[in-house]
Amino acid sequence: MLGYTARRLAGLVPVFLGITLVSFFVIHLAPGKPTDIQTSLNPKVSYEARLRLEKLYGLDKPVYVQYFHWLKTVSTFDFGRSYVDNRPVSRKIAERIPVTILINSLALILILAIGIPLGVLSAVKRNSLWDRFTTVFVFVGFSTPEFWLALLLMSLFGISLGWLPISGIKSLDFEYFGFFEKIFDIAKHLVLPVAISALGGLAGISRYMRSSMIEVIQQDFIRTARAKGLSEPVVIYKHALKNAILPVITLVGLSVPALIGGSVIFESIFAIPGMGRLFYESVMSRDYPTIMGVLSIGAILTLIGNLLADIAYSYADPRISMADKKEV
Amino acid sequence: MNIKIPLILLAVSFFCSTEALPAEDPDASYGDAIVVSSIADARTLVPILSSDASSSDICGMVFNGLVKYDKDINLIGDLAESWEILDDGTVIVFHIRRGVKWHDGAPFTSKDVEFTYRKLTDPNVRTPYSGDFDRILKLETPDEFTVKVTYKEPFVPGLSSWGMWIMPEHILRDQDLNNTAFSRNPVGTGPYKFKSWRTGEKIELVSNHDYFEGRPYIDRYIYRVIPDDATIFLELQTLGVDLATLSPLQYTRQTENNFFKKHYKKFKYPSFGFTYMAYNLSDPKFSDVRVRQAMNYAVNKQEIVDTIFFGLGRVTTGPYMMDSWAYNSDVRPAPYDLTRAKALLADAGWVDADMDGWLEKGADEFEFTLIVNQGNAERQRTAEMIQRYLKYAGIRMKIRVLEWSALINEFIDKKRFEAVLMGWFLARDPDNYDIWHSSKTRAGEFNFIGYNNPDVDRLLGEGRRTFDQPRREKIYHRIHEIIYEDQPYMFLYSGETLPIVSKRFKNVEASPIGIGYNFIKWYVPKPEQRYR
Amino acid sequence: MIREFSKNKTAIVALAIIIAMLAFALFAGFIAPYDPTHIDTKNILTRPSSAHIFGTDTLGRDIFSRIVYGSRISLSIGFIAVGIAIIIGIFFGSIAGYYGGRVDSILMRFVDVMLCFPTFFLILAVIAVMEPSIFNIMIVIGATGWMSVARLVRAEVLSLKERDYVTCARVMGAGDLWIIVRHLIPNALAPVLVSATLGIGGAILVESALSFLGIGVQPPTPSWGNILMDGKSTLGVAWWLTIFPGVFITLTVLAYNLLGEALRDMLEPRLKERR
Repeated sequence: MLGYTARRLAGLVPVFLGITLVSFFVIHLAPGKPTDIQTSLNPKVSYEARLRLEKLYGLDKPVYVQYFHWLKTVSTFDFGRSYVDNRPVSRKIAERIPVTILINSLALILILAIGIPLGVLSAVKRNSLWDRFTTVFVFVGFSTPEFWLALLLMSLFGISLGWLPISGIKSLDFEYFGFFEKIFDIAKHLVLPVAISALGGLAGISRYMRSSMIEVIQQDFIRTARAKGLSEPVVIYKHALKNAILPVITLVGLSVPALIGGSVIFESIFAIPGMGRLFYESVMSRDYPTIMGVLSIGAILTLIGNLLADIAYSYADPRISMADKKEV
Repeated sequence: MNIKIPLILLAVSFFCSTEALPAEDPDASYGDAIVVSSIADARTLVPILSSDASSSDICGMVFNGLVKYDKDINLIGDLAESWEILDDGTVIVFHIRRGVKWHDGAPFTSKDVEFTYRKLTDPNVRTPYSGDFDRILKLETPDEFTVKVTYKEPFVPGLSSWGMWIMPEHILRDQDLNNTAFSRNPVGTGPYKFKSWRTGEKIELVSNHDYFEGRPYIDRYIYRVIPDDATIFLELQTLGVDLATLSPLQYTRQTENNFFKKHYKKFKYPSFGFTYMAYNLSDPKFSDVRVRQAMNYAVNKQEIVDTIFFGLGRVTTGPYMMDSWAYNSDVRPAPYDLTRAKALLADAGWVDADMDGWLEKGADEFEFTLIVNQGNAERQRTAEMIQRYLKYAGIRMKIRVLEWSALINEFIDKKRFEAVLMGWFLARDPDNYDIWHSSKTRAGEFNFIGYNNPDVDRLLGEGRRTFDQPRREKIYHRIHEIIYEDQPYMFLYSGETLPIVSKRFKNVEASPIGIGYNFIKWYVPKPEQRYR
Repeated sequence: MIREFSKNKTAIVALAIIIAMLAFALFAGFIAPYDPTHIDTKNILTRPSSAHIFGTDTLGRDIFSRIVYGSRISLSIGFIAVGIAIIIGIFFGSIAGYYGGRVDSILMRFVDVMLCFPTFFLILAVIAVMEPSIFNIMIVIGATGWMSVARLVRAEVLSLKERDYVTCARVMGAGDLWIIVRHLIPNALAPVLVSATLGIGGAILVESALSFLGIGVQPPTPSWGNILMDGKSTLGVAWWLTIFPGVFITLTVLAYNLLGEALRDMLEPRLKERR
């Protein structure tokens, strides 16, 4: 087991290098320089001033030199400094991660809390009216352009009904609130963002749960359980559910990296300073160190998430041997 | 503008610092907060490094320059009480206001000015503003309250360049400006002190009770970052935002209801920029002045203004701020005249020989591509309307939308374009040597169209050396005339800035320079105050 | 199978919607009452009426005509992007599955690398720095969506290649290419079909998301995404600018998803038997 984990971990290194190499070159191939926003077509910026800026950022060196330089600093767990405001990239990311994780994990919990029961019920009552209805419902959530739905709900709950705040995560007088007022304030601000991001993800989990459940129900041990005279709820919710939920564990493991990946659209609409906006803004301003920092952290988490999912799965289901797992 | 177009420092400091109003309002009371919305967050609050609109908005509240513009766009003293221009304009002597204190209590002196100048011209500082200050031969500080600046040659825009915000020497003396905590914790002399900055969310300032022009009435200034304009508009409807800038559509249609009339007041004033279509003059199609003139006749600019801006803008004819003294209002916009356009094109050899609706010259069809930056809906719609007008004239125009950075690097700098739709933001001083002089055509310089007119070159040089106002005015009027005749750009329109402010703020007035000039005199009567 | 399908009412409705949209796209010229790019400065932002059933936009263009023509752009982005993804996916998947060993592990490592990129991030980075043309959008969506297809095909091929008929073909002297193209790929297509159907809906959504950021299909060419985006700025005065394109996108994407699900339901038992 340990050997297997170590081998898998070692295998991650080349993948990680591959990811960073590809990203680095894609980003540097792009037209434009980080100094553009500061200098281009600003008549107060002289030609000489512009050349000087480019030199100060080290942009006059070849790309591969820049890549090795980057790799060297990253190997000491330092992502360098942003070209935009010269702050450490790790600081910039650390600033954005909490709110992103908060919203994403709340959304994930909501998805699991609603999606699993929906999926199980659909599976149990397969092809019933209920099954059809939930299918259409979860897919409507998945098929609606997120920003459109967000704007519609914002006008409805924020303006027509006036129940919820529209944007941001805290009220402006937040610092003067008491403890419970603060919690309530944040909760109010989070309702719409969390609900909308959960709605989009409901389809995935509930359908997955449904098909996994259907598969389990058809298996022999369920038939045996029924034959033994166990009541239907016990069969379904004790025996079947326990087995059907296994694949969902994998799915949750795989969504670990998604927890830090924000959506720029979503964050722009709700004015939430999260990872999505950070990445988008850095792409637009060609802030190479920040782009690379976000991508690297994303890659590391994805790789670790995959690994954890595999390991968790193998613990949960000893039938799967380590060797087989590699092939699936 | 939606896209982060680099702006000229002075042109964007929306809240320029303020000047005293004659009479004090009896209702005026201290307190409350103003919530200002912005599409983008600030980048750095080191004044000489900030080049984006948001950073400039904040710096404008926290810092002062030596000079500033009053509400009628005249240069007046700010940190400088007065100044003298000596030796035919090569020397400026500033007399500095006494008793001004930095937010930390330290006194402000001429050493701070000298320090700021040294940093502006330090090759290791990442400032984009070194240009104007590199023309200085030497800067001396005979005493604590005098600054003597000697230029290499007379340079008229030099005076206004001292609107540059002054930084505190006692704090920054031993620091690397490119990398200092000051950029997120600035200390200035301005009406507001920095309090906190939550990245991507909001910046908060509090009023400076010891401000040299008096304590501002509004206690807190909250700069909220809301990246989507639809969200800003929704926030206005919940009264979550006190000040925002409207689009023409929002101004004319969306805010004409009882709710907005009850809670908000709208303002408008001419914006400091203009939009134009620039031709690559080395392209054989556009090197003929008759073609450029013909195209000017073929496009109905008034209709563009009426359709896209709902009339909130004006057709412009030259590269100066409309209403300013440099703008020559005797140059009348060419009328929309399709017949004349076709005649001029025929003169230049472009005729529809094969009767297919498109013009040809020999085997070549008149076809070109207009490039425009993405993210600016009004500009893209303008391109679509120009496309339609030119079609009537028999010219086939394609539109290519490019991301800003790619547009500049791959197309403008490398001169790989036929025509481009862009805008300039203007400084208050009309000197635009860098845009029109024939020597400014290298990659990255601003005469990217390759305009070359010896008369204009000569006049531009004269204009920046002439201190005598009436003479200077003549020079710029003449440049305006020549350029309109030459049509290197098709001058399109200059829009309006359309701020909307919550009605609880009193003393808000529009003026040529905007609404923020007297911000420290804005107040909210006690009963209407909303925030702590 | 057809009988099974005809029993599934949701799938029928979904298919009907899909066919209707395809008809829109194919016969846009006959269906649309106006030229979708025709600017009419006299009729800006008019409400839905008998002249303009979905109203007009900020330049006085007919929304219905724009949606009809936009279906062409949005659907071709869906189809072509997915087509690209499938071709790349089948190529890598079948080679990896068939040859196994080192080839397999290298290719699958590559798939791992690609999967580690947050897809939308990658699309964003590439589109933002390239020109946002329809062509580029198709390629990028395709080039970032092939990995799941590759995995599916590889898994299928792995199990198929041990079958008797494949061994038989090999014994009879068939070349690798022949076996892959003739015997393996056709039999591995069923799961690919499901994934493609779902992918088309996804691509349409990605296009609208790109439009939101201003880097989708650029005007004057109408796409559902940019019509919807155009409407965002008029929220509150002209509901017709956002409601109609929004409903079209949702309905179409929903239809593809439901159809994909129905196909999966039908194909899966069959797949299981084969295993």
